[in-house]
Amino acid sequence: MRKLLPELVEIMEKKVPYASALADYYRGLTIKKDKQGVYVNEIPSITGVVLGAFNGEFFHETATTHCTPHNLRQNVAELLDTITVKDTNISIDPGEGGYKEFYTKTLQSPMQVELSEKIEILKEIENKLIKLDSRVINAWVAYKEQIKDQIFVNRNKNFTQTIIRVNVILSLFMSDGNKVVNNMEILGKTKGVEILKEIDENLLEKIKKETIEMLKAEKIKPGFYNVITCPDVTGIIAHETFGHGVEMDLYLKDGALAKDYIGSKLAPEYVNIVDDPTLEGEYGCYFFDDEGELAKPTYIIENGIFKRGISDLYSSIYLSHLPRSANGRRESIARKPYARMSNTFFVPGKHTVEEIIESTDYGIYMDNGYFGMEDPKGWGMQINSRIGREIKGGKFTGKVFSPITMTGFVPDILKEISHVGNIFLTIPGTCAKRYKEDVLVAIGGAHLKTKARLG
Amino acid sequence: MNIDLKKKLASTPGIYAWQYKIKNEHSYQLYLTKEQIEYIRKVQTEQIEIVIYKKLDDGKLGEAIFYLTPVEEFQIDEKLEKALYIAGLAAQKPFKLAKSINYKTIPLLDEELIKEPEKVIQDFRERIIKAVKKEKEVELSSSECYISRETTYFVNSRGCSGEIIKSMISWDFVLLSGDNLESESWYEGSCCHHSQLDIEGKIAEYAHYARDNVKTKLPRTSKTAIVINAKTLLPLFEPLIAHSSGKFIYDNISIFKKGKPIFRGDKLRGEELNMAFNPLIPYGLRSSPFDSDGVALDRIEIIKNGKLENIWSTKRYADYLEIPPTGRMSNIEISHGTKNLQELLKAEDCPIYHIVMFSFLNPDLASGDFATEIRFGYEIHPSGKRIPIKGGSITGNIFEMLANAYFSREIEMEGNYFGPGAVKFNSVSISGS
Repeated sequence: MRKLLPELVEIMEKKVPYASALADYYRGLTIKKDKQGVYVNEIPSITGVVLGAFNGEFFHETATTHCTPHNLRQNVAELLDTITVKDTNISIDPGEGGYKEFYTKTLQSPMQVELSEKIEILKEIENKLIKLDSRVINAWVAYKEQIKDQIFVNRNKNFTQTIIRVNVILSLFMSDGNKVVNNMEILGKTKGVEILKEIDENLLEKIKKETIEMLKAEKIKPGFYNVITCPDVTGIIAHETFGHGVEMDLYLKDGALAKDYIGSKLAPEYVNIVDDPTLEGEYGCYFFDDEGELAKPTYIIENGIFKRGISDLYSSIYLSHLPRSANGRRESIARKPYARMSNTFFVPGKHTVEEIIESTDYGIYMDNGYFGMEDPKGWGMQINSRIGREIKGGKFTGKVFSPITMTGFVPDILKEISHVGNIFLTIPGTCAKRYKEDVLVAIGGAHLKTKARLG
Repeated sequence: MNIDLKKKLASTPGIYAWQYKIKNEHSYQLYLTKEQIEYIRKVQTEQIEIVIYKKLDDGKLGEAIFYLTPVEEFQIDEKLEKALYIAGLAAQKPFKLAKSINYKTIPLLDEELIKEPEKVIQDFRERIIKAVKKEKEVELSSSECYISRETTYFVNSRGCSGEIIKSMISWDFVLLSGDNLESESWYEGSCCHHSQLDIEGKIAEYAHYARDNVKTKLPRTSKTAIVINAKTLLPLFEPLIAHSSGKFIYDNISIFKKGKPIFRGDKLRGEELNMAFNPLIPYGLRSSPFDSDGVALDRIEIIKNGKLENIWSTKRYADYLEIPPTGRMSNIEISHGTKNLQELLKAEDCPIYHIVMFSFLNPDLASGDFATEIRFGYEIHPSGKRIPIKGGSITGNIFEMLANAYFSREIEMEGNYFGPGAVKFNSVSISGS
């Protein structure tokens, strides 16, 4: 394929000003242990080749899972037949080239660990989850290993990458006879099976404690509160506001309010937000994006000032005055690339979590974040957490609310950030663009203290 | 596919039972940035899902699921060997595969749509641009349209086989309004027949929302009634669907009991919910003669007069519970109520809220709890005055809310939802100004 794809790109560029090819080979396993037994499934994926041609104004692509040389050559011929080249001054820089190969570093590659060994670990975890408390009515644990091989070729580049991702989900159901609650813990990294070692007694105890708290939780009285966010909730804020909010494909569509704020001070100087696909080991890591751009960090907010957004190739062509980042990602070869996040996070600050809590007369500590939704146009946000802990006089009262939703106007919430914690944690996630186009990411950061509307 | 997979699976030693699905999809895609084309794409995919079962010594059943793409056909022997090894480790409670039956015939393929998909895509672009131009103070931000033809062939070792050929249109658009294009509204939808593609109607409806979205305020913090539109409603029913499933019942997670009320509370103050699955609707988004395990599908009432009437179940959980299999979920039918939309939208003592769109409504399947931001709606006063709203959030529990709910008399079809155009829930908590 590394020989065939350059040949196809060369054929295409005899007609069009720019062409590229991407081969995707995606494989892996999910293992789930629940009450009925063990399930082992291969991951369903679309493996194939996408061939792209720029006609001077927009892109034509053809994608197929039928990847024989004959079929791919035929697809190129058919694609070129449909293209009328436009006489424009737009050119695409193919970038610095070369023949490069990249691999995820692992301590224990999924291929090196026997399936039976992984199943035994999961059985043990599920057994422990079931026995955590008499109120447990069900539990399951799921492990997923994903190996993605990609080849990207344009007239200068011939890159390959192998990305290994592993994640584990622990799910616990409890009932008090009237209400049923479900709590989950998700671990995920761009690394190997060693992640299973992170599931220890402390983690199981944490899940148990939180699930019991959810059973007893009350509904919060809607209103404005001092809010302290734990690192995963902080990560969701970063992702929904300065991730989705600064995807530059939306700038072209007048679909993001952030476009009007480039260069503006939006937060205190101790607030920094970064999107970084090179952050080793994190779930959203890659070495080059799906359009062949070598991965590099994007400093979105530096010292409180909104500096730049994240781009795909198309938006960088039409917003050539703004720097291109390595964020052109696609769900699979069946979809086009968009400007998408990788690992997006608030950079840690100087405060300990104890200092932040002690500084709070009355407030809510948002814990166990699990969901968020962007609103790039209105620059609003919805951040959901399973748990909200009441703080009075600088101490937890033991009272818990569930679930909690934080909403508000992004600049208002940022401007109110008074503390940034010094602990850095991330969680894995699946990110959609509005309602579709799933890609794997990590989110995270440190504890934050701000003011926001909760409900 | 060059290999005879049926023969291969039937003749491989150690395989006790098997099923496979071959799925082919041809898709044509158009992406617009404003009115300009950003991408035109043609996609052809083929994937084979194979499930094999192995009898294990302790009476359990071993299962392995794997996939083949056209480039992997030559690996079939290697993949089967690996699958048998996996099945030896993946021990499950036994169940039987679906048995052979004649499936019903349902019209699912719109020949006109897939005859010339490139032309349909071009027509889509022209229609959407024209429809937006007809609207005042509104611009197109972006739009996407996919036309696809999906073929699924299913066969299992009990002689069960069938084929579904289905056409599909998936589309969306975002509209902008305001002096500085500061407001937006967006729509996404899917359908199976070109006659269901109501571009002009949806553009007119969402242009109205985009214009009103320019002048929104926050809702008031209150406990009051909300009326939710059909398009936004479906996720709220997901906890009900989960709790009436064989899986939730077998797993001891369900709070539902057959013949008992599905709402939480001392008594029903509103109208009773009636919910059915109907896979037989011609060109319905989730219509199908059989499910992904080959179980023949038919209309089934799930909730009748506010009580659990039937448990829906896959073949696996039906066998575990020793009940007839209904197959997987299909289109959802909700019965209409007695009041029309205008009556539901009438505020009596205090303002009520008409919710057009949430940011994301994602209720917890187990508890039924949800908390979501209001993306757009209206505050309706007893005087009849309607004020556009945005922001703030709604918190509630669907099982509690169904104790005091009213369903509109008007029926709407939106994706796989066929039911009241709106539902009113009394006494819901709103966080706002």
